[in-house]
Amino acid sequence: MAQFKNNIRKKIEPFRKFKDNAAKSIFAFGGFFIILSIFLIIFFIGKEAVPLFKSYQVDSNKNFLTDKEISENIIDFYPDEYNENLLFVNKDGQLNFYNLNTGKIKYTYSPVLLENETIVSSNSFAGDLDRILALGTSSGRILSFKLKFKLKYTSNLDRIVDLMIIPSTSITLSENAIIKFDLIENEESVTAVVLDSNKEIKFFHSEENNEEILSESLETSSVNKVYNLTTNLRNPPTDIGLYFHKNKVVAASEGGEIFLWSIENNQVVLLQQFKLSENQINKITMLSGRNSMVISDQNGSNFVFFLINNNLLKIRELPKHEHPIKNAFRGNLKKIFTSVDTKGNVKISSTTSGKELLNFKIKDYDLINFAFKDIGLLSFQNNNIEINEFDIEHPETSLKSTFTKVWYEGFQQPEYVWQSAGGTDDFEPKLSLIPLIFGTLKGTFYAVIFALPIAILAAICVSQFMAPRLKNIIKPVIEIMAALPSVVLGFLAGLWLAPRLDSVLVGVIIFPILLILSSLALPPIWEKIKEKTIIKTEGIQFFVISIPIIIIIFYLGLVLGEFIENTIFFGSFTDWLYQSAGVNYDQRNALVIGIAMGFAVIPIIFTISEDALSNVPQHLVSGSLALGASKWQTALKVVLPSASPGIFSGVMIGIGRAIGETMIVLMATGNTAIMDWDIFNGFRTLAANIAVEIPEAPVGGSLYRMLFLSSIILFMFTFIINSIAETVRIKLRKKYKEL
Amino acid sequence: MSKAINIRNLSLYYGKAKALKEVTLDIEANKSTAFIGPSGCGKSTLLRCLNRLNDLIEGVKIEGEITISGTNIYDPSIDLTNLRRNVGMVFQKSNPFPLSIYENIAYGLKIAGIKDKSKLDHVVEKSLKGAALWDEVKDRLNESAYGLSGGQQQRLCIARAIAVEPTILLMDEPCSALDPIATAKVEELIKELKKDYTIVIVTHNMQQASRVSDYTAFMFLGELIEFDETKTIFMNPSIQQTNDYISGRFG
Ligand SMILES: Nc1ncnc2c1ncn2[C@@H]1O[C@H](COP(=O)(O)OP(=O)(O)O)[C@@H](O)[C@H]1O
Ligand SMILES: [Mg+2]
Repeated sequence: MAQFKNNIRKKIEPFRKFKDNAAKSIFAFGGFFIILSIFLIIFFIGKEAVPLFKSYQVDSNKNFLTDKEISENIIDFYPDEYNENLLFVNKDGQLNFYNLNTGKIKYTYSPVLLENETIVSSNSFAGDLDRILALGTSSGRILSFKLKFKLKYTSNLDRIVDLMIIPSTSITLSENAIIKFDLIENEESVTAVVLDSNKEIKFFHSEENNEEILSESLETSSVNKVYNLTTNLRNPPTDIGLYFHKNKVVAASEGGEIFLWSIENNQVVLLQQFKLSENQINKITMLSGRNSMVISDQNGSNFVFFLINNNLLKIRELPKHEHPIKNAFRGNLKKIFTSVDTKGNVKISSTTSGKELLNFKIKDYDLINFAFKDIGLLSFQNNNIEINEFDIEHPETSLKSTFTKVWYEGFQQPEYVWQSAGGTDDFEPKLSLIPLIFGTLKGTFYAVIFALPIAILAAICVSQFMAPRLKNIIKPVIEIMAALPSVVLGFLAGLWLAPRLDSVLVGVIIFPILLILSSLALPPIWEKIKEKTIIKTEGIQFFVISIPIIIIIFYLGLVLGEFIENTIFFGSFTDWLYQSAGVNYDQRNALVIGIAMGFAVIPIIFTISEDALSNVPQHLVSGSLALGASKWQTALKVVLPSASPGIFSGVMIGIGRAIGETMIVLMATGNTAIMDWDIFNGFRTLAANIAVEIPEAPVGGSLYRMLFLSSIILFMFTFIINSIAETVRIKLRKKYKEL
Repeated sequence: MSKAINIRNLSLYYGKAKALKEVTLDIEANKSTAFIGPSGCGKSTLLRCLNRLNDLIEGVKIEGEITISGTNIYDPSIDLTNLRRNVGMVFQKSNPFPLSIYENIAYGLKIAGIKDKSKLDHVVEKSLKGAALWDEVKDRLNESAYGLSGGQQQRLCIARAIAVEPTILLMDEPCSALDPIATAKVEELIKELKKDYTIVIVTHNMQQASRVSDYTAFMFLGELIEFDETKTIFMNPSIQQTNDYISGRFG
C-alpha cells in the first residue's frame, strides 16, 4: 500500500510541481508587469513635465573676430534670428550686413543724411510685418527703416539670410542730438519719445489719416506736434519709455525719480512723480507689449512696475546685481528680462514670477545686444564679438507660479489664473493649475452631492426591499448605465439639458423637496389602503405604480416651480438671482454637471454599494427582524453599517471616476477656468483642460509640458483617493470582520 | 398545564417542495421542547414558522394554523413586531450585530423606541446576568461584540433575545458551533431559562435533547413522527422509526 502511494507520488509530483511553479511565475510576472507599467507611465509623464522647472545654462560661447576697419565706426549692431549675421550701424549712417562665418559684408545700405549729421543712437523692434530699425541722429531726427530678411537654403541645405533695407519714416524732434529714444511705429501711427543731448525729453505723435471720416473725429491739432516734457525735472533724466497706449510716457532720473506723463487733448499732464530711492536709475525697459516696465538702478536692483489705473505700482523685484546695471533687455518672444551689470554679470529672470533663470559672466564690452528670438546675448569689444547662446524654454513656469497667486500684467491684484493663449504675440501666459484643480474638485463635489443619495438609496431599496425577480431586472439595467459612453451623457447635458434647465430651474430645485415631503406623507396613506389592495409592498406592482407617482410629483414640481417663478421671482428666477444676489447664471454650470456626471457616477456607487449591502449575511438580517425590528430599521441599523466598508469604497471609486471624467465636463461646463463654488457657474477641470488644450499645445512647449504636469496631478488625485479608500476600507472591515 | 403554542395541520411549501406536512403539535408553557430528527427534516422550518421568519423567503406558502396564547399568528391583522418581540429567537450561528456589546443588547429596546438611558442600562445588566455573561463582559460593554469568544457571542445573542422580554424563546441548534465547554455553559443557561420562558429548541444532538428538554418531537421528512415527554421518547418510543433514530441506526 505504502509502496503504491509512493509510486503515484513520484509520477504526479514533478509535473504538479512544475505546474505550480509555472502558475506562480505567470501570476508574479503579471503582477510585476502591471506595477512596472504603471511606474513607466508615471516616469514618462514625469519626464515630460520636469523640464518646466529645470534650471538653464549657457549652451555655447562663441567668439568671432572682425576686421579692424569694419568695427571701428560701429555704434550699434543687430543680430539676425540665427545669430549668424549682424547688421552693423555705423556712425556715418552706413548699415552693413555682415556674415560672421565668412567675415564679409554681404549688403550695405547708406541712408541719406544731412550735412554733418551723424548717427548717435539706434533701436530695433518688431513692427507690423517687418522688423524696424530706427536711428537717432545728431541733428535731432529719427529715421526708421524696414528690415526685410529673406531666408534661403543652398543645395546642400546651408542657410542663407539675405537682407533688404527700405526707408520708412523720418521725423524731427529736436535741435540736439538724440541720445536715447523709444518709438512705436505701425501702419496707422508713429509715436516717439526722445532724450536729447540737452537733457530734454520730447514727445511726438502722428496719425496716418487714411480715412477722411476718421480723421475728422480725431483731434487734428494733436498730429505732428512735438511736446516738451522736461519742465518738471529737477535731476537730469537718464532713460525714457513709451506705453502701448501711445500717450503715456515714463522717464527716470539720476536722482532716482520716476515720472509718468499723459499727453491728452494737446496737453501734457504729469500723472505721477515719485522717488524710488536715492540711487540713480540707469535703465527703463519696457517689456514686450509695453504694458509694464522694469526699472534698473545704480544699486543693481531691478523692479517690475505695472501701470494700474494710471498709477505706477511696484509689483516685484527681479534678481539683484552686486554692481550697477549697465544694460537691460526685454525678451521679445518670452516674458524674460536680462540685465548686465558693470562687471559683466548677466542675469536672466522671468518677469512673471521673478525667478532667476540663468546667470553667467561675459567679457568687458562696448556694445551689447540681445538676440532677436531670445536665444542669446551678443557683446562686442574692439573687434571681438562674443556670443553666448542659451534657450530658455519655459520661463513662465515655476512651482510658485503654478501653485500660488501671481500678479499678472493687466490685473488689479495677484490671482490664480489659467489662460494659456491670448490674441497677441506679447500675451503673458498664465499657467496656474489652481483654477483647474479647483474646477476638478467642484465638479466632483456637485456630482457626488447629486449621485451619492440617489445611488445609496437605490442600493438600499434594491438590495433590501425589492422582490428578487424585479431586482434581477433593475440591477443589470443600472449597471448597463455605467457602460453608457460619457460622450453621450456630455452631449445630452450640454446640448439638451443645459438649454432647457434654466426655464425649469425652480421646479428642478423643488422636485427633491416635494419628493421627500411626499415620501413622508404617502406611507401612512399606504398603510390605510394596504389591506384593501392585492398589491404587496415587496411586489413588482408596487414599484411599477410608484413610477407614475414619481412622474406626477416631478410634474407637480415643475408646475409649482413655474408658479413660484412667476409670483415670487417676477417671472425669471435667473434674472432675480442676478439682480438680488449678483449670481450670474451660466447656461452650462455646475448643476448641469452635477446631474450629468452624477448619472455617470451613480451606476458605480450603486453597483458596489448594492453588492456590499446584498452581501451582508442573512443571519444578521434575521437576527434583527427576530427582535421585532422593521425592515427599515434593519436596513439602516444593521445592514448599512455592516456594508459601510463596501459602500465607502464604492463612493471613493465614484469620486475617482468623477475626477478623471473628461467628456461630460468638456461638453457641459463651458470650460471657463474661474474659481467660485457657485452652482450656477461653470468651471474647467484638469481632465477637460487637457482635452481642450492639447490641440493648441506645440510639442515641447510650456503648455504641452504643463498638460503633462496636470495629468500627474490628476493621477495623484486618484492615487490618493484610492489609497484613502483602501486604508479606510481595511480599517472598517477590521471593525466589522467576522460577519 | 396550559398550552403556549398550538400548531394545527401546518404544511409549508418552498415553492413546490412540501417541507412540512400537516404538523400538529402543542407546546407547553414554561417547559422546554426539543425538535429532533435527521438533517433536512424540517426542524428549522417549523421553528421559524413560530415567529414567521419564513415570510421573508420568496415563494413560501403556508397552510394550517398556529396559535400562540390563543391568537392565530398568521392572521393578516397580526402585528409582526409584537409577535417577534414575544417570540425571541437564537440562531444556529451566533449573529451579534456590528455594534458594541451594550448596543447589541439594547438594540431590541431601542428599535422599540425606548431611549431612557437608565432603563436601558438596567435591562442590559439584567439580560447579561440572565445569560450568565455579565461577569465576563461588564468591564468592556462598549467594546465590539466581535471581540467575544464563540460561546460568549452565543450567550450574548441569548441575552439580546431575552432583553425584549419575550415569553417564548426559539433556539435553532444553539450549540452546534460551540466547543464542549461553551456548550455546557449554554445548556446550563437553557435549564435556568426554562423557569421563565417557554423554550423550543432544535437540536441535532440527542444527549442535548435528553439533557435540556422536557418534551421531544421527532420529525422525519417534514412529518411529525412522534411527540412525547423526553423520558418516554428516549426510553420507550412507541414508533419503530423513532427508536431507530435514537439508537443511531440512521440519521
Ligand atoms: N429557503 C429555503 N428555500 C427552499 N428550500 C428550503 C429552504 N430552507 C430549507 N429548505 C428545505 O426545506 C427542508 C427542511 O429544511 P430545514 O428546516 O432547514 O431542515 P433541518 O433544520 O431539519 O435540517 C430541506 O429539504 C431544505 O432543503
Ligand atoms: Mg436546521
